[in-house]
Amino acid sequence: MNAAPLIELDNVSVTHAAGTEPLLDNVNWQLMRGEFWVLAGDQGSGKSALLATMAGLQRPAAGTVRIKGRDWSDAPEPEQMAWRREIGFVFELHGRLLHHLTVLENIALPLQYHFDEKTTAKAEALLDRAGLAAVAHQLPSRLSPRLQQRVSLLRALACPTEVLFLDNPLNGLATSGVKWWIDFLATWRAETPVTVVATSNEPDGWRGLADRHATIEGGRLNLMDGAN
Amino acid sequence: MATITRQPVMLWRSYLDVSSGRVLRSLATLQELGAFAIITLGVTLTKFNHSRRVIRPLIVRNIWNAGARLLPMVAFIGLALGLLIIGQTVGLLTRVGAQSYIGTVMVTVVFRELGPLLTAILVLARSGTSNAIELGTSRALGEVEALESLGIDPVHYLVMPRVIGLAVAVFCLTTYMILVAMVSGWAFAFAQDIPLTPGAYFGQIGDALRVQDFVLLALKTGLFGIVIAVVNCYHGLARPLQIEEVSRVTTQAVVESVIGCVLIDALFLVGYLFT
Repeated sequence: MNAAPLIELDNVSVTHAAGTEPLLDNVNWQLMRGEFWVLAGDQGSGKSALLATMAGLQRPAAGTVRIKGRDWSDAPEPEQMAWRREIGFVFELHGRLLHHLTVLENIALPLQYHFDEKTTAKAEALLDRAGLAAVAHQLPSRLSPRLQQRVSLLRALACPTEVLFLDNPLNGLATSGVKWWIDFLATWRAETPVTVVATSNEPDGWRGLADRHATIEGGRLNLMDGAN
Repeated sequence: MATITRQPVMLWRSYLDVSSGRVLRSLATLQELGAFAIITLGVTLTKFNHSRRVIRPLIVRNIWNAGARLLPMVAFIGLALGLLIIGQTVGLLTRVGAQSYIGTVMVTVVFRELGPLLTAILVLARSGTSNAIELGTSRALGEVEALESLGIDPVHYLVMPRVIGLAVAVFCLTTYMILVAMVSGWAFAFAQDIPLTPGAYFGQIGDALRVQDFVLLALKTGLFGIVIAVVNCYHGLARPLQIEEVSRVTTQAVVESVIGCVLIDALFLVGYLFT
């Protein structure tokens, strides 16, 4: 394992995307390659905002975010876009699929945009692997929110992904739904090493898969298992 | 007594406050629109050939949606325009013995003014508003953030194809409308037994047209399309929106687009006067 942290938060304050009141203060966190972190906390505690800040999608209200050792506050736009190509982000609830594209087109979009893929074969293979081939040509609005989020995971994994950010995908899922996510990610990580940060309302939401745990309580981040 | 003398002053002040507030807000919007237009121009120049497999079909789709699908409506308006202008002017011109100016009137009114402006307003009504609604909804649903998370530049993916598509569409549709209006104008004159052969009529039009007219027409219609697309995309994308705000920003985008097109038209009027 590379000793240099992949992502490093240094005294970071996090606000809600549309707000100014800090949700989290003085967050210090190092994310190493290959780790699987679970970030647990109550609804509205700032998990999603912290995840977006770590992913470089949201600027911190204070402090420094370093991605691959680079201070993110002064990174130019092309560098930010290049980093975003290397991450996968699964948003909460509906997964934020593009509503005017079919499921297959949604998954194929990053491949065609970044790698000039001529066919949708890779996206089709991903859908097949996830057992979603039957919905390939449907619009996202035809799918349940849970299926939309699975498609969002496939879209996030379509391009080579270094870090995968999962925003509470297990929230409200039945046991079978949780099992699908755990099994899919376990198999995927066995083949393709990917660093994962997942949020959850339950601290043991990702039992058996996560090797690092953190919780948010009272606007503070607590790192557990002796990490960092 | 004191209140009677102070009231007009307070009213005047509050009126000034409201007016100056509106002026400042308008200036701020104008500044943001300018910045958005510059960003779009920068992205268009630097990324025009990037991700062609994704972007080119989007440009074609926008030309189709804003252009080809509007052909029947533009043909209808062009037909009506030709009939109306010839119908209104031919009697007057015949009375003063100035039938030889029918072609000049058609060029001045249809080619230079009404053709481009009417087409731009039709495109705004048909496609500009749908762009504002579509992008506003995408923004409200968080799809723009999703694009960013995929490393896809939203201006490149969402705005640039619309700007190019609408610029091309307004130019092509205007040309089509002018042709239909010219032909329908002659047809109406023929139906009214005006002694005007097609050769004489189109000869008059040809004489009235100058090379600069074609250049200015291309520039003006292209700018109309760009203004409509930029204003509507700006209002759809610029700020985080809630779903219920989409209708409000769409109305605002329509008003600003119309103002923008009329201002450009006025600028080109000066251009016509000096060329």
